[in-house]
Amino acid sequence: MKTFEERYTAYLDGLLSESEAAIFEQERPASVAQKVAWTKLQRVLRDNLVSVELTNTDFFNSQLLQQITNARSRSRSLVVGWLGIPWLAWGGLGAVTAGIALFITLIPHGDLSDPGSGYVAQVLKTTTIDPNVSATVESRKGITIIKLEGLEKVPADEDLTH
Amino acid sequence: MLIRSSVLGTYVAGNCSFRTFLLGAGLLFAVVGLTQAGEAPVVESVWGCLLYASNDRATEKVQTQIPAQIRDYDERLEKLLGYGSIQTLGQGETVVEPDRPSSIVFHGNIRVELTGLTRQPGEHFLVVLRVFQKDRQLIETQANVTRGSPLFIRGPLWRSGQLVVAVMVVS
Repeated sequence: MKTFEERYTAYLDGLLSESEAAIFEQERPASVAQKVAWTKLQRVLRDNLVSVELTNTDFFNSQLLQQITNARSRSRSLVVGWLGIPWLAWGGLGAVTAGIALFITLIPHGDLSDPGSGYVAQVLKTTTIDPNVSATVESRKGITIIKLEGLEKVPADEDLTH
Repeated sequence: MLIRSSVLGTYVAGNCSFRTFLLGAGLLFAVVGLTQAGEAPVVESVWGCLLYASNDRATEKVQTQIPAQIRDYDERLEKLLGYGSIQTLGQGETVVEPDRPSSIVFHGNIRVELTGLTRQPGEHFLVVLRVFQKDRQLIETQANVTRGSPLFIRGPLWRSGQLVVAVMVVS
């Protein structure tokens, strides 16, 4: 079953058979005048509508290519930095260098094969209140000891273990 | 809070690109890092022990195991002190807080008092320590140490040997 729109379009385009067209005109008498007007309009358009020849047929393509080129050169000028290396790469290199420098200066490190290499115990100042007591500092590789002289002996019977 | 809210506010407002945001975050970390790296009072654990160095044969037989913290130092210590064996008499640990003295007390009322622990660049620590025998101060010393580096103090004679105090920043 054809819809009205299909039958109407086919009628205007002259695709209906004579009997079908006659039935359609009987159902819709106004359609005869509309078909005449449509036929006139088609003729006018066919006679007067001339396709315009563009002077630059690649106008849109050339505009698009121009914009792409501009965008490329703009982004290139932002990214490419000193010596042709992008600024982002320079930034990364700088960050890595700073990280290594901080690691070397701030993180304690030493020779892992020598257990005493990381040892730091530096005596800056010693004071003894008792004038009979003296303190001397002895530093060897990997060990520092302050030796106190002139102290009273701890009684032997004093239990220091409990 | 203020920094975070201002950065976020700027970021959300669209006035700040992602790179500017990263730069700001980097500067913030750098400032925090430099602050931490500078001289600052700290809360650290300090371990100490009382040792008995002697040439006693009996001591050698019943020798209490050297604490793990200074196990690598026993040979060097024996050589430096001139004794053949080292016995552990006691050990302890204390938390040193800024502006508050902390003590490690051993038997025989021998005490190590620690104050003014400050962190220096390169994970070094400045510490003032005093050793007391009963109520008598034997020595006050200021030392620059790293974590895990014991400082030894040879003290009074006892029995046929000598007492030694070891102090070390451990955490």
